[in-house]
Amino acid sequence: MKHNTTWPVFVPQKQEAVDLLRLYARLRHSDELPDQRVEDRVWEDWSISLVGSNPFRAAHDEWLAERARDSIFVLQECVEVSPEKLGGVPVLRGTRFSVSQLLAELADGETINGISDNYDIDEDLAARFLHALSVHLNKPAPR
Amino acid sequence: MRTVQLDENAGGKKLRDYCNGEQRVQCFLLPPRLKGGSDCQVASFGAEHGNLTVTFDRTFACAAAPALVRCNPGLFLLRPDDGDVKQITAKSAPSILKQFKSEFPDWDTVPWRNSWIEVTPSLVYVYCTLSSPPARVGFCKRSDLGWQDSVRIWLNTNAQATALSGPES
Repeated sequence: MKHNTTWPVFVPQKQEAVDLLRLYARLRHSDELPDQRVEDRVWEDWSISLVGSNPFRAAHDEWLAERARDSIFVLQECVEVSPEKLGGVPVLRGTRFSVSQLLAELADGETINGISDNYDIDEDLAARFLHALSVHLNKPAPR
Repeated sequence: MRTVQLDENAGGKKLRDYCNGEQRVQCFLLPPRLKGGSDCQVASFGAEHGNLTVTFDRTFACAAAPALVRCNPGLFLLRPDDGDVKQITAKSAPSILKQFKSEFPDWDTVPWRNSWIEVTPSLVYVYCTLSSPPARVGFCKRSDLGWQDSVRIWLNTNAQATALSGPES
C-alpha cells in the first residue's frame, strides 16, 4: 500500500531531519528491508517527530542510559563513601585516596601508572573507576 | 627532628621525598595498616607518635577534630585559594610549600601542638584544636608584612593552652 507521502507542514529540528535522512539513506542500501517498508518507516518517523518523539533516537538514548545505569554498579565496586573517611568524600574503595584527587592528578598531567606508583593505589581499580565514570557521564540530558 | 605523616592523598612518595630532601623534618607515608583507615585512626596515630599530619583535605581536618582535642601534635592543611577550582596535587604542592617555607623560615621549630594551620597560596588560617569543632584563632594574608609574627604568636598560644588546662579528665 502506497502512503500518501505529502510533506508535513511541520518543519522538524534540523538535527532530527539530518538524522532521519541519514537513516533513510542507510536503510535504502539495506537488503533486509524493501524500499516500501523503508519509506513507511521513515514516514512513521517523520510523523512521530511531529509530536516530538523519534523511536530511533529514543532507542539510542535508552541504550546510553542503560550503559550509564550499568556503570553505577562498577562505580559502587570501585568507590566508597564513608563519613569516617575524609568526612564522607568519595574515595577509591579500601583507601583514603579521594576520586577527586585522582582526577586532579590526571588533570595535572600524571598518568594512571604514575599516580598508582606515587600513591600506592591499585592501578586496575583506578582504571576501572575512570572507565565506569566515562560511561556514566556519556548520557543524554533528561528532556 | 620533627616527624611528619602524610595523609593518603597528600602528595604521596613525591611529596615525602621532597620534604625529606631538606632534612629538616622526617616525613613518611602512613603505615600499610592504616591504608583506608578512618580520619580518627589517622589522627590518633599522629597523636600517639607525635607526628604532624599533612593533608590536602579540609574535610579530614573537620572530621578528625574529635580525635585531636587536647592531643594534637599539629595538623597542616594545604589547600587552594577560595575561588580557585584547581586541587592541590603532588605536582603543585612542593612549589606552594617551598614558598611558604621561604616566607616562614622557622616553620619547623615553632610549636604546632594543638594547632591546625591551613595554608593557601595567599592566606594562612590558624585554629586551636582544644575544642571540637576547632576554634579559629586568626588568619592573615601572606602578602601582609609581618604575618609570620601573628602566626608565631597564635601557635605559641595554642601550644601553651595545653599546659594551662592539663590533661582531659
